[in-house]
Parts: sequence; structure tokens; C-alpha cells
Amino acid sequence: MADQKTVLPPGLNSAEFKLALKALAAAVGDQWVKSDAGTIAAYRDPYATLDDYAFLPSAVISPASVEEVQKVLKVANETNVPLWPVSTGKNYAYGGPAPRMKGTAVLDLRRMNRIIEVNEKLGYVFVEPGVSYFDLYQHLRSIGSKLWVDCAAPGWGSVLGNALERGAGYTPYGDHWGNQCGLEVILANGEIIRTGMGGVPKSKAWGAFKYGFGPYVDGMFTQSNLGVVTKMGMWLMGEPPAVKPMVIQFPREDSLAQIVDAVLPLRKAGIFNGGMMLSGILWEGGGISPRTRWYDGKGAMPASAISQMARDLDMGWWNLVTGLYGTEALIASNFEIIRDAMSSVPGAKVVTESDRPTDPAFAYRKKLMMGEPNMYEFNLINWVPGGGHIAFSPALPLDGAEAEKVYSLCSNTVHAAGFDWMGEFACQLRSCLQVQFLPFNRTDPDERKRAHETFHKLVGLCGDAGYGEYRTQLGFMDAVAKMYNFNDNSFMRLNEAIKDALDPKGILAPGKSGIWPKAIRGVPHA
Amino acid sequence: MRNLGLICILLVGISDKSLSAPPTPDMDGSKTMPSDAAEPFSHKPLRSTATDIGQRLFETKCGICHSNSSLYAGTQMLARRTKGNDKVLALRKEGVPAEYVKHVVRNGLVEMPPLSRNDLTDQELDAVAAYLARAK
Repeated sequence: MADQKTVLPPGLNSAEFKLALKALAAAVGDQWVKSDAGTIAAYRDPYATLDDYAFLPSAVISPASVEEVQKVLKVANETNVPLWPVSTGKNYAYGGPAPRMKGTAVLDLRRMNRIIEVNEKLGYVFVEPGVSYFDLYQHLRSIGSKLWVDCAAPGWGSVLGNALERGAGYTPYGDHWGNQCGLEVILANGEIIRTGMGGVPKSKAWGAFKYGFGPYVDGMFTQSNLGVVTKMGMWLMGEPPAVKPMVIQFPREDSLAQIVDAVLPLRKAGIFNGGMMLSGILWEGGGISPRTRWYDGKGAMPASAISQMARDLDMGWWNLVTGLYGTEALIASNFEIIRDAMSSVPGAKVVTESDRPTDPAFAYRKKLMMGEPNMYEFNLINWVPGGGHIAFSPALPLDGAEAEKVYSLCSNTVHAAGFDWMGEFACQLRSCLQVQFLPFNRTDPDERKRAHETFHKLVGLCGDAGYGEYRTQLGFMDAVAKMYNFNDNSFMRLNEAIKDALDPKGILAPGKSGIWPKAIRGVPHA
Repeated sequence: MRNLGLICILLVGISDKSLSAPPTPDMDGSKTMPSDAAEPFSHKPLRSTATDIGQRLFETKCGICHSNSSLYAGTQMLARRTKGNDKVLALRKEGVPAEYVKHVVRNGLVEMPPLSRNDLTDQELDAVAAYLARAK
């Protein structure tokens, strides 16, 4: 439950804040500016290692249009109310809708939920921030479109928001940011820009050609605090002639390096052509039932119980989840190549749909591989009581020895602290992300504290070994940013220079990705 | 807080002891998939045909986690805390107190994240709460 204490933006007294809220209400309407405890409570991060109060906003502002966002930005600049833009606010495990800095007002863009264009011929859509995967899926099906949405696993997330966070999915279009094309952004001073071909007023290629002319700036608006993205073009895959969802199971924990090294050449050659998750058994089977079914003791689940769980569920210790896309003939031919190549790993077993008719884990993955959103993966919050979880997601090359090193480092660290290693390697073309949930009982203050310290340890150990996170929860943004410290932090100096130039008053998302406005740079925050 | 008394009473029922209670019968000791895994993992909730507005909202907005199968996160969570069909909110014989529903939706409850007024308006929440409060 959220703390009921009044929260103010830093530097403002309650009279100043009241005046600011009045001006904001004039911009978007009374009912769309709220600062009561009942409203604020819904914008906490319910899964964080720190308490709710650490990231509680002061107010929630819900504009419905570009014009209203512009008005809000104008007021924010005049009154020094910082804003934390969220699309649907479902970025759980990384902070949900909560702002990095306590007292920041959430700019909730959920009401901007138009699907502006569906281009069936070229295969793209333009969406506003409030469009969820469910919304887009339903819309496409209702108009008889043959385009597929590449979804993040829980389908209530924002298509635009997830792409801006550079999330991953399951189809060949699983690199969400990689498939973005064209942005409309409102800068902190209220100016609207359109990137790529959107800069040419009569261009018909805004959603088709990314790069436009001159500097390619789209990436500056991902994981950043330089503007409010109000429209985004997203490429969508056309329904292919055939799809074959599959899981390749491997019984031994120590096969990780071999598996990854067997995958890489097939990835490079385009034989594996879908999204790909190499999932540990606790992730793969963890949604079926809570941990107590397998182990009820204290500390990390022992290897014997993990093996038993894999055997009982007829799953591997490692499970390579992917789909093959193309024609029946192409898939059949690629399937043979894959089966032969992956059989070099001891005990490898290829499983397809007909082998797993009632397996919910197979079913939800299959849906995701075919662009159908669902919420099954959210079941992982039930693994331990108290539901706490944050995701630790370092990036590494798609290389067996590297994967083994990261897995050993992370699993040893969490096991020593009494937590399970529950994770998967999201394999891309040449890299992978070790997406690891750190599940903990949030109702137990000691466990929460231990989880917080363990996560910091993971950031430090992995960073020192060369593995930076690609995305992180609010409370660890500064720590992760510090790992990207080449040349005495020249990357952060660049980020700060851009921040100061585009948002001199620092009203947009203070602290996002470790980038703070000049006036409060260096001030410690939770 | 106006409803604190009611909330406290209900919270007591799901406190530490029941959070770490043994698995519910449909999970316990099973060496195969849970019994309700046989029900196809569907998207029924997204396509509600209910005429009652509260029911329709529940099925489309809440059903993504609270449908009738332990393969949905909310139902699985309640399976750990409750007996029998109480894990399925829409099937509770006595109904669920409306004020309790409203409080939990806005504030969240342990594993359940809160829903904002932009996710579900106050008017919509009233309709959902009225639907869940009705005895079944």
C-alpha cells in the first residue's frame, strides 16, 4: 500500500505546488490532474526492492492530445514541476509507472491511444503511446488485417513504450526498437519534431524508410529524458505461409556453452529465423505453479529439486524456445539442419506442438511466436510469496564461453544470497541478454533489503567483468550508468550536454538512465 | 482511510501464514500438468459477450489475470490463499465485497499491481465491483 504522506516535487513548497496544479488543470482539465493519495497509489512500483515511498509521484497528469502535452510542458517549465512520461505504465520489473525521482509528476499518456494508421500493403502501423499490445492485436484482427504484432510477453504493455525501452519479442521482428520507423517527439520546449522521412511534409515514406537525411536522432529518444514521444511507426510482419513453434530441451545445466555455440552458426546463416529464448527451467516451468510445489525449504532451490522439477514437467534444464518461419518446405528443410546440429549437445530433445498439446508454457510461447498477446508470463510473480521481482539484464555476445561466465557469476551470486536464478537468455543475431528475474518476498523487509544488496552486487560484478545491463529498474539506474564509464565517463558527459541543451530546466524524467538535470546533478537519490 | 477496518480484516486472512501455505490440491503432488491445464489457454476474456457492463469489463480488463484457470496469474495467486473455487473471483458464492474490490484495484495487494483511473475509470470500477459483489 502506498505511503499516505504528501509528496511534493523537490524544491517546491505546497503553496507553489498547488498553484502549479491549478495551471496544469487549466491545460488539460480538472479531472485529468490528480494529486490525491488514492490516485498516486496506483503509480507506485509494487515489485521494487525499496519501499513504495522511494519512488512515489506527487501528481498524475493525463493529457489526451499533442496540444495538451505541449501545454503541460509549458506549465512544467514555468513552475518547475518535473514530469515522468509513461505510456501504459506496465514496465514492471523495471519500475512500472513510478518515476525515478520521488515527487516527479507522472505524465500518463494512456489516454493517447489512437492507432493512427495501419498500412497493410507495406506492413507498418503508427500508434500513440497508450496503445497496448492487446489493443493493437484486437484492432488488427477486427479489420481483417494479416499483419502480426510482435508482443512483449505480458500483453498489457505499450507498443511504443516497450520499443522505446528497447524490449524484445518472439517473432522475426523481436527486436522492437530495430523495427521502429519514424517518431513524432515533443521537445521540452514544446516544439514538435518528426524524425526520418516525417521531416518532409509530403513524404509517403515516414513509416517505410528510417533514416531520412542528416543525423539519425531517433535513438536519442530511447531510454532517455529528452522529449515526449507521441507517435511511432512500427514495422509489422505479414503472416507467413507457415510457422513451426519448437522447443529444444537440454537436460544438463553444464551444457549452456555448448548450446550457445551450436546456435550461433545457425543464427548467422538465417536457419534460426525467429525470436529466440534460451530459458532456464525455473522460468520455463515457473508459471505452471509456485515454487512450493517443488521445494519448500529456505535459501536457493537446490540442484536436486531443480532437476526433479525439470523431470516432472518433462522439460529441459535449458529450453531453447523459438519458431521457424517461411514455407512448409523451407521450414522442413531448416528443421532437419537444426535437429542435426543441435544433437551435438548431450541429451538434446526437439519438441514440437504435437508433443505438448496441454503444456501451457508451450502454448503461451506459441501465441507470442504468432503475434498473439497474453499474460501467462506474469504468473512468474507467484513463484515466491510476496511477488517482489526486478530484472537483471546484462548484454553479452552470443558466445558459449561468455554465456557460461555470466551465468556462473549471476547464479553463484544470487544462490549465495539465498535467491533462485530464474532467467532466460534472449538470443539475438550476435548478442544475447541474460534476462534474470530476482524473485523475493516483498512483504519481508529483510529479504527485500537482501535482494537490493544482491542486485547492486550483480551490477558491480557483471559491470567489472564487462557486462553492462541493457535496461534496469529505477533504483539501479545510476549504478548501471556508472558501468558505461569509458574514457572517464565521456558517454555520460555527452548525455548531460545534450540534456542541458534540450531541457535546460530539467523538467523531463530526472534521473532516467542515470541522466540528471544540471541543477540536481550529484545530489543523492534513493 | 474509510475502509481500513474491512481491509485489515480481509488482509489478516491472507497474511504470512497463508502466503506460505502448502500448494492447493490442484497443484499438490501432481506429476503432470495441473488439472485445469487441459482447458485451452484461450483469449476468451478479450471477447466477452456478457450483456452486464460490470461482467463485460471484468472479463476483458480483469480476466487477463483472473479467468477460470490457475494458468492466469491472479487466479494462481488466489489459489495459494484460498480454498476450492474461491480462487476464481467471479465464482465466489457469496460475492466479493464491493469496497474491498475497489480498494485492492486502486492500491494493489501484495503481488497484484494497482490499476489506475486511466486503466479503469471510477465508473467502470463501480460496475466491476457491483458485478463481483453479487452472490453467484
